[in-house]
Amino acid sequence: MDPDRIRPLATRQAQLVRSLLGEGVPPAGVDLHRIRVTRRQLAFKRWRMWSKAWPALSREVALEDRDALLRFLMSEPLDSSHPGLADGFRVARRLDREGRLGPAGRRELFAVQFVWRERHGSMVRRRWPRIGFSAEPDGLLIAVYAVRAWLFRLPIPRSAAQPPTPDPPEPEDRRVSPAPRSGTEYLNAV
Amino acid sequence: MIAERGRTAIGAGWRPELALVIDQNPALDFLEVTAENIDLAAVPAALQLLRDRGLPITVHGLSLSLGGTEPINRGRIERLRRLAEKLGAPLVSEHVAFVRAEGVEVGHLLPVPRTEVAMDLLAENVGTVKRIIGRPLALENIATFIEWGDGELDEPAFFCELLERTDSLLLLDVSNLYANCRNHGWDANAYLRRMPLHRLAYVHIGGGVERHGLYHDTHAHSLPEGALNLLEELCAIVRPPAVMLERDDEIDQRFDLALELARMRGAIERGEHRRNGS
Amino acid sequence: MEWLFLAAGFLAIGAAFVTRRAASGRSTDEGALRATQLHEYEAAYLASGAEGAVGAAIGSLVYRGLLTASPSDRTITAASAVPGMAPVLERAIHAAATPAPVRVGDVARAVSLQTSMLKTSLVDRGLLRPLADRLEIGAFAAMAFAITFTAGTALATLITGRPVGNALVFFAVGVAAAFVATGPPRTAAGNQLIKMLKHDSEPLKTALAHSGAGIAAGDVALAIGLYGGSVLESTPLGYLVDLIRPRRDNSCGACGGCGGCGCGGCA
Repeated sequence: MDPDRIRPLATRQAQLVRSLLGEGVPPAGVDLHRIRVTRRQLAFKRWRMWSKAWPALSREVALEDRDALLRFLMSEPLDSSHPGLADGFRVARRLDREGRLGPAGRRELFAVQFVWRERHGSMVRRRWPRIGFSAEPDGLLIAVYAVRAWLFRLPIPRSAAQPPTPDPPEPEDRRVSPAPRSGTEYLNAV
Repeated sequence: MIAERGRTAIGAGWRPELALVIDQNPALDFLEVTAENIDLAAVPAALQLLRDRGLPITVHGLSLSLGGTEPINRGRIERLRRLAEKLGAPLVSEHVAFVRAEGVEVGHLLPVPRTEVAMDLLAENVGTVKRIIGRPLALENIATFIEWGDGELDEPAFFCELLERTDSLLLLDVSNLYANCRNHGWDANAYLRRMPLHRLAYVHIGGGVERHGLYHDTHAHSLPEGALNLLEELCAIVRPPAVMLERDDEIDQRFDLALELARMRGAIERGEHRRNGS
Repeated sequence: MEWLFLAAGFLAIGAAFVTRRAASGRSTDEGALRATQLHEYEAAYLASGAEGAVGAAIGSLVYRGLLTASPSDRTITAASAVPGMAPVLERAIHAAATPAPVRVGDVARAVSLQTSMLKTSLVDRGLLRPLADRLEIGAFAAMAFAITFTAGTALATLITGRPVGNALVFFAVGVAAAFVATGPPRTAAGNQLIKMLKHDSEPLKTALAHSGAGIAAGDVALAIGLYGGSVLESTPLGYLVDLIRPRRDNSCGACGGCGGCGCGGCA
């Protein structure tokens, strides 16, 4: 189509997108309140996507950290190919930098980094076979990647000086496996 | 395409969380997969099993951005085509929406202004997609809180013209229709009657919840009575070839797929009785 | 000309493999196998032995909240009463963990009677091999090795004109004996049944890995039994993986920790 003909439409669409990401005003004729509601919906979706791609890490994230993490994620561009994977990667690295990455999240980060790498804000699958290692409190994780990945764990006897692995928290409902805090619950909380 | 003659096929969106209950439900006639959630190189074995049993599987895209002004990414269309081929999909579906602008991804389906320019753009993009995927394409209506305010046509008229111009099929999402009518004050029944139902390929229905005066189409809650009533209304007008349940979240031990499908079937049957004058 | 003796050795190992396989029997009619009804703990035992069955039962009991597990000291403790109709193995494990915690490593010994009952059932149905049969197969394979190696070494000696050291002969005999000590534990029918069960249970594996819907306690037991504890890796019960993994299996499974969607990532 003629670029001049679609330019006004392109401008308006870009303006809408920017307003949804918190940058600028919505296009004329679009209700601001509805923009805010849609923005919350976007946030919920984004949270849900990465929680599903990183279930262990998402269970470890503390409730009081969620608002800050969500604001952080919404300020980062969305990966068009693997949005959940990329956002989880960002969360994991941020928590790791802050020294707040738990054991399950650390294992998940190791496993994902082994198969994927970040390139210009997008997640790209690694091509070449490789082997990797990661030390855990009670063992050594060995990852092997060739077409698909395998993760092995060599238990290493713990010395008396080392602290034991902490027990998992008691589930609220013993009869049902504790479900990860979902995006729907988060929608209620935000 | 999906259905046998004389009966509305019942389907569900395949999600890994639903793999077991779907596998164990003999009443399902077809499935739909979301293209962006399936790794082409590693189609889940659970899905392959269903395909091997002969269950039709349609492919549903989320990210083509048919209504966007940026050139359509041919790689995405090609990926859709390859997945459809791998699964033997009888058709592919996408949305009348856009998801990116000026290189920025939103990750959310946004409405297209119902103008002549947007129509021409959509028609061009749909034509490109159809040429590449080589199988029928169905276009879906989206749920949105946002209205552009400068539409030259309303949504049913827009869909009629678009589908006619592109010779495409209609994927009618009755939950989206329900959400939009509630949130924008439209007449749902009138809207329904004016949609190009003669091009109906299949129907989506999913759950939602009202919050702070707005209805959210979450796909994470039980099917609301309003959406089921609309499905019944649709079935009183035409016999949909197929109807599919969408459930994306809050899928745990408490979710009862069989119950939701039964409620869906109930609405279809009530509509059928009304259509047949029973 | 050392390679001649090496070639004789490899040939002999190959002969042992082929004989072992031939003596193990051929595949059974799939239709007949499909009619075989296996309890989840029988399937677990068939797939991964007594430790696999015990791990599956522990996983199922924890899933239902009837046991709690403590990774820090590797113990399990009874939490609620087990239903009267629960399988024998579950009741035995629950009893072992009542009233005080029991180390997971000691559970298999405590329930050896119940696991041996599983084994007997599988042997009677022709899915597991009795020890006598396994020894017989092992003997055949060892014979094939010995004959082939001796013949090959003799030929090599003739060709090279050099004698073979006694140490080499003893080494070869020792390798043969150790390598082919017994035949495989599963019959051909058992192997085929496990393969079929794993194939048919892929939806269960997928759903469980995503903490999905419709998963009963028996399903959890079957999944752990067939695929190992790593099937729980991405679930809230992921902490059980290290506790219930059979000692001989150190794998975390195929990328269970790779973020829910199996290293491919979701959208």
